[in-house]
Amino acid sequence: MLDIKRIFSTLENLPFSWEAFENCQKALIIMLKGMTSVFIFMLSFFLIIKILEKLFNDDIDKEKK
Amino acid sequence: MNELLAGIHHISWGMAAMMFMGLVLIYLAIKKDYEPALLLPIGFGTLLANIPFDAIMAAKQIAQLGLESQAAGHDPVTFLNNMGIMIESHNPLQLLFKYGIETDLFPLLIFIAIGAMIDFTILLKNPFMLLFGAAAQFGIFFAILVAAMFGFSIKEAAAICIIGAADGPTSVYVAKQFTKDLLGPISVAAYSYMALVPIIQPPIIRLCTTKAERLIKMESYNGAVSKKVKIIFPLAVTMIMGIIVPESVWLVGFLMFGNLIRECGVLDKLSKTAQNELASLVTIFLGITIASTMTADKFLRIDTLFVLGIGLIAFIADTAGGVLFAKFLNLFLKKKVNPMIGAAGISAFPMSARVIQKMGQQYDNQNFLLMPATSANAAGQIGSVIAGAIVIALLV
Repeated sequence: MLDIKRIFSTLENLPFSWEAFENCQKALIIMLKGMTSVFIFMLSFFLIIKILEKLFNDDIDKEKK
Repeated sequence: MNELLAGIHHISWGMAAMMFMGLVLIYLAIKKDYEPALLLPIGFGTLLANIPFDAIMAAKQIAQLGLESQAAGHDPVTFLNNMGIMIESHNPLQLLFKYGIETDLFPLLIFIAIGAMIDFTILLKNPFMLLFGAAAQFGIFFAILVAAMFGFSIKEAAAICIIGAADGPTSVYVAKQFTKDLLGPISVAAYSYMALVPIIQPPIIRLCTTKAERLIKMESYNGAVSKKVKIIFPLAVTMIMGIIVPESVWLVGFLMFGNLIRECGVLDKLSKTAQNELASLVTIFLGITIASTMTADKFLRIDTLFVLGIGLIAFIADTAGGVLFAKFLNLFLKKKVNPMIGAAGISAFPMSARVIQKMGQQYDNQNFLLMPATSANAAGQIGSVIAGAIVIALLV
């Protein structure tokens, strides 16, 4: 038979608290926001490089000369 | 005689253990060549920081004030602190910390040097690799979650997670915004794991890829890049990041300033100075100053083990994040990328790119992955700084 009291007392003694759970929620949101932001910035740099490439591609030969 | 032996009287077991740790770091730097430029100053600084200079000065001050009877049995530094009396000691390490780290001066100066050292040409030739520089920052954000699960506050978690940036100065700069107490372990973990990239990354890459994937060959990109593009790129990155995430302006700005000095073509002397003299000088000061936080009371804690463990998880998650993202992209790409390239999206430059090249050659000696891996690695350097800036922006 399950010793409910013992299970609850074990759970209470685990190092996880409600505060820690709330922190995990916050951390998860930061993780999602953070990774999305990094990708957006890197994609924007990708686009900028592509635009710059188009704009200044012809200059490469001039610079070589 | 007692005065001459005062130092020995004040050495605790914790201090002795820290001194031993300092010696281990010096050994690793000299004998094993693990990031010697940083680990040696940190190791030596650890020795200095744990010599009981403050305790001796405090004991002398207690004697001068005639408080010996009250202070008997107490640690002299704690006793004076509890009495609200300032200890009259001039510890140069604390001064360097106050003016070099608390003001962000040393990490920012290092960023100028790093910016001057990075050649983004290889990335500008193949900007697609920027995506791997983003994916391999996964470990940073994943580590926040892990640290929060272990009961660290969100700010402490943010400080610890930045070990995953695989970038020493970024780790020091970001961690310092959130906690000073954990700065020592965070810096040691960041620099040690960077040195251990050739050991940490290969098993994770093997675990995440099949042999067929590791054999995929990739093209080299031999096209030239216009000088104008090289000059506009650091300016554009600084402007975009600075305007959208103002908290990032110093971190990104100083890095890109260094790069502009390199690429502008009219400041060769300054560029060489930044790459050599500035980098060397600030590295010496940064290492020895960080060590001032490596005192027994701050380092010999259970938290330090968590920091080292979570830092390792961050590195592993970075590598796995990059590789798995490359595999995901392969689902849509006609020309497949070798997923190992994804692992080079971390900031440990050029070590990670070399690891990928070596692994590629192990499976097929005609597979040359150095070029694309170096592009991804350069992207990782930008990615780590951006991720660090975003962590600050989201939490400060």
